[in-house]
Amino acid sequence: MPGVPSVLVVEDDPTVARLVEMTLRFGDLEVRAVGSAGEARDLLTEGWDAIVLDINLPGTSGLELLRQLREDLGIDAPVVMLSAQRHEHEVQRALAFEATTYLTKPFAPDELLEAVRAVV
Amino acid sequence: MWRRYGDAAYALFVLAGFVLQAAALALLTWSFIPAASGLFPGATPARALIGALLLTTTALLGIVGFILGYHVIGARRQALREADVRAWTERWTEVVFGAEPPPGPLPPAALEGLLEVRDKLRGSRARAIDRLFERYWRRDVLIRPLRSRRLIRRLDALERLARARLATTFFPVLHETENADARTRGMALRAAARTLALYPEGPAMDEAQAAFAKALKDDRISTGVALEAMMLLEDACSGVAIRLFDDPTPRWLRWAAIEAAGRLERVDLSIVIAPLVEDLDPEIRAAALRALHGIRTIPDAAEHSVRRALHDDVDFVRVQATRAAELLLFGSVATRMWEMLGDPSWWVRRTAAETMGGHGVAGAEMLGWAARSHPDRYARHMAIQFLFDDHRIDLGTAERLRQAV
Repeated sequence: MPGVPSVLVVEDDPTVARLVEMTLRFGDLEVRAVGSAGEARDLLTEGWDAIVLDINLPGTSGLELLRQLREDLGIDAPVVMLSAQRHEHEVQRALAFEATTYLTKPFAPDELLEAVRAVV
Repeated sequence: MWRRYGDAAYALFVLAGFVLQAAALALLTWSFIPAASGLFPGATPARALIGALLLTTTALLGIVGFILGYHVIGARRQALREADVRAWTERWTEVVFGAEPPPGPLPPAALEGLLEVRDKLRGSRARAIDRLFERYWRRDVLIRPLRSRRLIRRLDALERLARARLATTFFPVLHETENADARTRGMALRAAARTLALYPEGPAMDEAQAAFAKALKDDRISTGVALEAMMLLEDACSGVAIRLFDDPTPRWLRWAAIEAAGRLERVDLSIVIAPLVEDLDPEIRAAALRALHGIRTIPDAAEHSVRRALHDDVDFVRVQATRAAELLLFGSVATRMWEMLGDPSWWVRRTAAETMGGHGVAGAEMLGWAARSHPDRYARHMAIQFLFDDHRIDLGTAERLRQAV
């Protein structure tokens, strides 16, 4: 829908992906969810207002996808990282690749929505 | 899936198979005893052999048929059950975001679906799910199986409670850490830890943390299980760990608390861990140094202790101190790092090279100098090896340096 911010969600856990999708739709955002870095790469150039990216993806990790997005594709869309654990070195790497925010799982939907709305 | 619930039936089938085999062999043996052959006039060896083969075939077909049937039927039931749980997970997801809750009573798949959703959330939506648990299932429905005599039922119940993370179930779960069965104790500790990780803030949290710390002090709980449980505490780890750093706590548990604090990067515990760098126990000293390195913080008051640990008599303590020295000003440890490149322990030498390599330009320059002119041969070799491993020199340069020294 024109005028409605669009968000790409990259998350391999179907329950988490669905919860994230519902959270963002609840906040009147347009959402597309995919389960792997491979599927995400095909969609990255479509122009997203924000990307919600899980760190632990099957195959290519979320951090590697973030690097490719920034360095190889030159995409500067805001990225909200989701991770099961908060390791300082992961946070530092994510911030080095200009991730906007870093949230841990289990996540608070209100917090996620606030983080995404702050950047779209 | 296999053998989760089919133990009794499988055991009966195997018993039947062996009984048939034993009967067949007995009959066959009997048929070859000349004196006995008169008792069964028709039982010639040939007929007995055929009979034995038939019985053996029957037994094998029975057991194989049971196994295959179990898998086929079990797989189908599992697939149906998973589809059911997925449907309920989707329904509960919609309820969390405002859809009308379904009317009760609800099937077991509904509970699994709600647990699946609860496992992924925290905050106000998670508390809404807690209220759904209370609405549809009496607390004792979740707790009662803990008292089952069957191990699998107790473990299933604990797994459900670990996913539910209901604060009201914390103490009943914690009580199971006193169970006579080690597997139940371990599972209960993990379930209690996951529940405590999302416990509501307030005075009740303090009481829960104290109770958890006390449960950890059970001698029957292994160090590995204690460490795993403390890692599951996540943000609640600090409140528990701080109760375990004092002397009455067994040494192995203090080690686990320090280790967990380091791995979880609990900055708030760095002040409490720092004095342990000078503990009498070398394992505790090493753990404290490793934790400070993990937390990436050495309190100012502890810097001198860390520098002193670089001279520790125990090699694995020196290794951890060398690693932690990465967080100190290079100028304050440069001389000691130079000396440690020639340490008798290979691990200390390697860690010293890595620490120097992590100290920017100054560290790299010192490493290059060590590769050419350190008085100790092993130190020169270690410097060269590290520079090569870290892609700072190529193979040709490394070979030339090795030959020169």
